[in-house]
Formats: sequence, C-alpha cells, structure tokens
Amino acid sequence: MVFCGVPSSNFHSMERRAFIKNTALIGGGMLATYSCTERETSSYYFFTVTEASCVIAICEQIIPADKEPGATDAEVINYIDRELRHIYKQHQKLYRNGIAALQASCKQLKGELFEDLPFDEQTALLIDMEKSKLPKTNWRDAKQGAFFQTIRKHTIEGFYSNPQHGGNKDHVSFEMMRIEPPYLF
Amino acid sequence: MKHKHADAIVVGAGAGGGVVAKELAVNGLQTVLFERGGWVKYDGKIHDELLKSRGVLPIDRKKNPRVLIKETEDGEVEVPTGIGHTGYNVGSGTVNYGAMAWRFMREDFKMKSTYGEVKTTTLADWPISYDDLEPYYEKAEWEIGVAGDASNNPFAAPRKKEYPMPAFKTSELGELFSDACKRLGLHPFPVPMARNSVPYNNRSSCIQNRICLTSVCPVDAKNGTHNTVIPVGIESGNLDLRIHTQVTKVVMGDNGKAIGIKYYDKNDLEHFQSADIVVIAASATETPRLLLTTTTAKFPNGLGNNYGWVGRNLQSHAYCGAAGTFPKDIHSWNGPGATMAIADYNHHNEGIVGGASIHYDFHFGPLRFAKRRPPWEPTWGLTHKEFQRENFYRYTNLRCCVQEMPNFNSRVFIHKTKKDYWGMPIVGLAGERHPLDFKHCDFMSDRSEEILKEAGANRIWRVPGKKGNPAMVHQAGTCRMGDDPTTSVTNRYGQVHGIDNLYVGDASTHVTNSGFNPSLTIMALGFRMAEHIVEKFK
Repeated sequence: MVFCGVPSSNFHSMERRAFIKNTALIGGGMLATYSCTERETSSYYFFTVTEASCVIAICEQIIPADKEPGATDAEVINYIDRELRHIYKQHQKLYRNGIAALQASCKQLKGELFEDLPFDEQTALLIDMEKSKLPKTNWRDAKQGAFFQTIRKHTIEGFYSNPQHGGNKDHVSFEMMRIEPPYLF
Repeated sequence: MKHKHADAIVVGAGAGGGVVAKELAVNGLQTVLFERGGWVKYDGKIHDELLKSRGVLPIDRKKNPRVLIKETEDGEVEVPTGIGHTGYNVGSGTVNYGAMAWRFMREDFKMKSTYGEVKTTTLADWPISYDDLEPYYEKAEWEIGVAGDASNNPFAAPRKKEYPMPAFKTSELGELFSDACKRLGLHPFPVPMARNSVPYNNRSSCIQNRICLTSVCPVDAKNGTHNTVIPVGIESGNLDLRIHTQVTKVVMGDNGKAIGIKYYDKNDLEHFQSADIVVIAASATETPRLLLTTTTAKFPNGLGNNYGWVGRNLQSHAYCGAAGTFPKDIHSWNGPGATMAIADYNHHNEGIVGGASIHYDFHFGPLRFAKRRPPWEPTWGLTHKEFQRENFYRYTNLRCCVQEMPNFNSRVFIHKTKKDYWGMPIVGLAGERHPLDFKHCDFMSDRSEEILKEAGANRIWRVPGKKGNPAMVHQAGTCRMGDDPTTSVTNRYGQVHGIDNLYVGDASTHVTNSGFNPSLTIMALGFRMAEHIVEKFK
C-alpha cells in the first residue's frame, strides 16, 4: 500500500495532531483504496473527503480529546460512515444536506469552513445549531436541531460501542471508563 | 390446508401461553401451540451493547405496523408507532426479561375494596383473591425456577412453601441500598428472580454477566417458558409447537362456540386448525386484536365485546424514580444488579392509591450510561465525557414500578381500513396514562430521593414518570376478568363470557397490574386456567 497524500484539500489549516491521526488512519489500512489522482477520491463508503473533514470536527466537539482520546482518535467517523450504508440509510440525506448547510452557515458567519475554525468557535456554532439558531436561510434542506441530535447520538454510539462497529478504536472508551478485557457485557 | 382435529389450541408461546399449553399437554390433551416467531438462541449479542440496544428479539414491525392516536391542539392525530410489541419468539419476553418473579400482594387483587371508588378510573377488585392464586404461584415458582427469600419482607402475602432456590447474594450496591433503607425504617429484601442462583432443572447457575435485562442468557441460567414448561410439554408427545405461524382469525361455529383458528405458515399458506378449546395468549395488544377481528351475529363488535370492554383499560407500569452519583465507586463490573428491593410503599400511602416497589436498577454498559445525566448536565462536549469517566461505577438509579390506574380511554382498537401483511386489521393504540399516575410517580420519586440521600449520594436528580400511551413491557388489562359480563370480558378462569370454549391466557385478563413486574402472575394464572380446562374437558 502506498501513502499518497492527505485526504483533504484543507490540509494546511489542519492541526498537526489531526494530520498525524489521518496518516495513522491510512497506515492502518483504512484508506487502502485511496487513489493518487488529482481528483479527490474518498475512501469512505458514504462521505466525500471534504464532508468527512467536517464530520470529524463535529464528532471531536461531541467527544473531545483531553488527557484521554477523543472521537477522532477513536475513529468514530468510520462507525458513522459504515452505519450510513446500512442501519442508518435513512439519515444519508440529513447528513449530506446538514453538512452543506453547516458549511454555508460557517462561510456566511465566519468566512471559513467549520473544520478550519478554532475549537471554541466551533463549539459556539454547534451550541447554536443544537438550538436551531443558525441563519435559517442556509437550512432549507435540513433541520439543524435534528442534524445535531443525530450526529450527537451517532458519535456517542461509535465512541462507546464495541470496536467491531468501526469506532472505539483499541477500546479507548472502555479503557477510559476502567472497563477491562475480556469485555463481557 | 386442514389439519387433524386437536383437543386444544393455544395462540402465543409467551409467559401465559407456554404454561397453559404445557399443562394441557401433560394432562393428555392433544394441544397445538402457535407462535409467530421461532426459537431464539444466544448468539453473542450479549457482549455487544449496541446490538442489544437495537433489540435482540426479532420483532417485525414492517409486517405488523401500528398506529397511535395522539391528542393535539388540533384534535386527534393518527401517527405510525412501533410501541408495545412483545417478542416474536418461543418464550416471548421471558427469554430476555430481567426475570423478576414477584407475587402480587393481597391488596393488588382488591384495589376497589382497599381504596374505594376512584373517579374517572375503572379501578375494581379481581374476581379472585391472592389466596385463590397462591397454590399456582407456588407451582410457577417451582416449575419455572425462582431464587428468593421473602423472610425479610413483612408486606408479602403468606406463602405455603419456600422458594426452590436460595436468593442471590447481594452486591456492594445492594448493601448500600439496604443499609440506607434500614436506617429509614424500611424493609429491604432480595428481589425474587427467575434465574438460577444454584444449578436447577439440569441447567447451570448464573455467571453474573453485567447486562442481563434485554439479553438472551449465554449459559441458559435465566428461566422462561422457552427452557422450562414448553420443552416439558413437547416431551409429553401431546404438544405440537408450530413456529413462524401467524394466527389471523378465531373461527366460530353455528353453535356459538369457537371451532378453531385460521393461520398463515411461514410460506404465507393459509391453514385451518380445528379444536375443542381455543386459548388466546398473544399479549395485551394482540389478544384484543384477534378478538375484535372476529365478528358473528351474536358478537357483531368482536368476540366478547358486546359491552365494549375488549381492548379497554390498557395498563403497564408508570416507571419513575430518582438517580444519583456517589463520591466513591459503588459497584464493580459484575452484574446484573437489581438484587434488593422494598415493598414498603406498595400500599397504604396517605393520599395515594396503590404505590410501587422500589429496586435499584439493573446494570448497563457505557452506551446506555452516556444517556444517564442529571437534567442540568450537558449532553455532549468535555463535561459529558468527564461525567462518563468519573461516574460509571458511581451511579445508580432507583426504579419505582408504579401501579397504574386503569382507565377506559387507554385502549387497543382495530383499525377500520389499515391492514397488516396478512390482511388483518392493524392495532391502534389510544388514550394515555391516568393523571393520578403522575401524582403517584411524584410521591415515589420523593421516596427514592430520600433513600439516595440517606445512602450518601452527592448528586441526586428525579426521574419523572412518562406520559403517553402505556403500551410497553408489562402491558395488561385489555380483556379484564370479572363476574359481571357487562363490565368484563372473561370470567375468573379467563373464559370469555358467552363463549365457553374460548379463553384468554395472558396479562390481558389482569384487572389491575400491581406495583410489581407481572410475569409470575401471568404464569400462575396460566396454571390455574389450565387446571380448570383439564377438569372441564374430562
């Protein structure tokens, strides 16, 4: 497998930490189908590369890294991406339109994409989104409150469920909660 | 397709139907037991909280849709709903339940005598008493297998025989709960469990997995009808269990008796099975549907429904309580929790009709815990994560199984136009819990807060009762038993008034539903009904 680049056009504004994580992702084989062309080719089942950057940033807001790993480290995006193809098929439209609407709101209010904003500004935006207070004009195709609650629920599921579902990589949330192997529920 | 005539038909292989079918079979009646689902076996899902949260029993809501009538400002609105389905499997909910195996209290059969007329409710006495049912409770405890010790519960009605298995040892949290209760002058005792505390019935004892409620037991130490009475019935050679069959109609003869049922097999072929006796035990939502679907000249509004009581008085339990966190760990990984309870507040509370048992909750994993927060705590972000990290082993909630007031408007009906996959009118649900239930929930949440405070919780919050239609687990009451055919659906044996070979064998016959989980009572009633049928048949 060849490492051939960063799956985001917004790489330069990404934090170093996120870069390390993304490369780890590729190294781990998750992006094995990533192709080295000029065209952005997503390795995700559902998300485009740019959509994924936004979703990763939202998930990290829901469960941020502190002294212990957060949603990005746990690769929660993989859980959401996989489930959108199966059990959450009905939420595909909400994600597609919701991400676009959030980005349009960010452009309008801050002049930047969501994932490029400082952490605290992202938090403030999500608080508004949760309360359906972002400019209504950008949210004609998706309900912002519903989008927030959906991605919140999915992030928590990905982070706190068994790794076999795609998130909670290396049982990071179980370790954080002092849940020990063999994880017999 | 026609089949060889049977002595008896039982529709539904759950807590009630499983018991009735076995008893009839071992007493020599050629019995056919119909179950819409199949056998459920442990398949590894117990170790996966996410899969379990999506349901381990294969409920098919697509083939069996339901609607709910909601009261809104603009009047009544009909919305699709998935609530109140019981299991689609042999054993139904007894496969994945928490397995609390309570006897109701004396007062629970005498609610009207105890509390008088309660306006806007249909509160009534049962036509039978605790003493009538006591021998059958005993039979259920020994045949299904219950671990318990009632010696410290002064409120329990008298029993003739001990539990067949010793009570489970309590846990650190159980001790904490019990000690606090005792300091408050209350009377904690071990929750009776249909789970093996020692090897029983040729099956092993419980291995204390963390999550038991909602799970299929990996070592078959949890006792339901699927691993006790139903296999015994089959062994007798007289029980023909037909799985993956959907019963759609009770067929009535010209003589005013039931002559059999119509059903579809898993290939959607229609069959007719005739029998001398028909027992419907399909749950408190599906049993009334089946009765209402069948009409005759004598019963133009559905079987047993000439006075409009079929489907009425739908009840379950108005669960509520309080939750709290403690300054130190109060439980370890071992499960399943819920070892201790009190029955001090089930009756004779001032200004309250009935009440509830209180137990501390079953344990769960990180996923469900992520939803357990005080109302003032954020539901995401760093604070949410910190709460999760710090309090997983420091949290408990006290659950109050509040006895609901039966009310006529809370009901199951059949839809006028909408049909399910088999062409049967779908279940409609309407009405809500009685306003008194919320008064009772408030009272019980107060009591729960007192216990948590006494136990040393450093953060306590109330968990209020939920409004809405009560169709959920513990559903009951929709074909109530009574001596007066104008205000009930069946007599004291579950025999439908006016059709002497048609019976209701599930929680539908409960007049009231007590402040306890109802499965053992459903089973006891099943033993009693079966004895009546056998005597009558001979």
